Amino acid sequence: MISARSTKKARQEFEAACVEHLDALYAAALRMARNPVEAEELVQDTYVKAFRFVHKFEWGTNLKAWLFRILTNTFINSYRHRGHERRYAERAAVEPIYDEVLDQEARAYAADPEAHAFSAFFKEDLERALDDLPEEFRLVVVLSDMQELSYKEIAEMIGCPIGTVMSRLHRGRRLLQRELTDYAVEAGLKAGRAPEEVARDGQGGAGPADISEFRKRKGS
Amino acid sequence: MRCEESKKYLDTYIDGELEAGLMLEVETHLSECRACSSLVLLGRRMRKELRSLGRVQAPDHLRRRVLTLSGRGRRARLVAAAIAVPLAAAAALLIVLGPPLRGGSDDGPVAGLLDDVVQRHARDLPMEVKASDPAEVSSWFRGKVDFPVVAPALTLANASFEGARLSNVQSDQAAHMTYSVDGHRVTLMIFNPRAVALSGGRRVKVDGRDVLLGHRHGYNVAVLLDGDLAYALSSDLPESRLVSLIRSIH
Repeated sequence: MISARSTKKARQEFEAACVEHLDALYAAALRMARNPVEAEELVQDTYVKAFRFVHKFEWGTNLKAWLFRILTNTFINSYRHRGHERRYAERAAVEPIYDEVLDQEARAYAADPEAHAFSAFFKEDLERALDDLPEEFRLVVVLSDMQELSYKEIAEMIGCPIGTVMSRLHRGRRLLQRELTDYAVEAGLKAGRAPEEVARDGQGGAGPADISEFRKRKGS
Repeated sequence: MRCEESKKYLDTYIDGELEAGLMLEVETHLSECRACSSLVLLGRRMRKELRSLGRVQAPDHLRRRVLTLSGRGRRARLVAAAIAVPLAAAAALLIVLGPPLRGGSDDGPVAGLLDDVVQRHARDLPMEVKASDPAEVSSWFRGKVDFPVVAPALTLANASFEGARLSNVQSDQAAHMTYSVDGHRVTLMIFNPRAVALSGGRRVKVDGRDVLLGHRHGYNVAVLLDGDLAYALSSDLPESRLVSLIRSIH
């Protein structure tokens, strides 16, 4: 009787502790599935599994990492859409990214962080840039940068060596930075690598482009 | 350490995962290299922005669904059942007095419901239990939804059962089932609808039972109202086929 009651209590404590991570799991699921309906279903599937496999969890180990492992596995096994993304992913993995462009960007940012184009971006721009990343890079960026999980934890989640996590993170972040630089150039927030695009989008180069206009165009 | 080498370690350095010896070397280099320390500044800013993308609040209905799955939710449901009777009486009174007269067309309040059902059909979500016999999934749903789930065997030629998952329609929990009929995917959602949400829509009688019909995003939907439960079928099959599937639900 006593033990049955304490088991029940332990279970309730475990479930309550799991629910505390709901917001974080949902935030990650949104960027993995890139769609609120699927994100909700993915989170729900994660909890169904977590509550079913309580006995597999070892107390004293990191509960957040355990839940994220279930989330990531569920996403990889059941939610990801293979196919059309593949070719882009392969290209993104080998395509050179020019260090000089990033160096320039970094120097401009360090000189005046608030005046830098990066500061003019909104959450939606970053979300979109992240959503555009091929999945293998997006996953590690979400787990590391957004959720601050360790290289070791991420390696276990996606089932690859730590070195692979590091190289995907490195490349994912460069692709993300490049994407944001391209947005800034397109928005006419800065002169950059694609002057013909600025000329085309800037309607005769009349003043700095309106970022909300730009967003409308990108979103359509 | 030179820039070329330092750049290889900057990400790991920013993440705080660099081993102590290398960290010291990188820091020495950073103290004398503007280009590399600029990269660290920009990298840290990126991380900070990405971290703030993670500060999202999960929608309330998702929180409720998750709590329902936990033991606390299961207990709360027993309490809810105890107060459900007076609420049902109040709802009955509301029906006698007449619900707010919204809808009446296909774009009434029911439109949101049909959208929800069709979105979940269109997504082709993974099944949590795979089974070929609908009877096998009833026990899986026990404790997960607050109504008994009896997955109907669609008694038609070329119809087979594929599996089930937990889902929701608007903020109500739903038992989500997938069938294959003549090679077409058919989704059945069983849920406990709120009376007002189901006013409006195109209503027809099928074998004396109320059925709502609709068309959303290229899919046909038929919702059977049977006692307290609603059975929503969506598919790219023609409406007449859905109606005959509805007939086979008992």
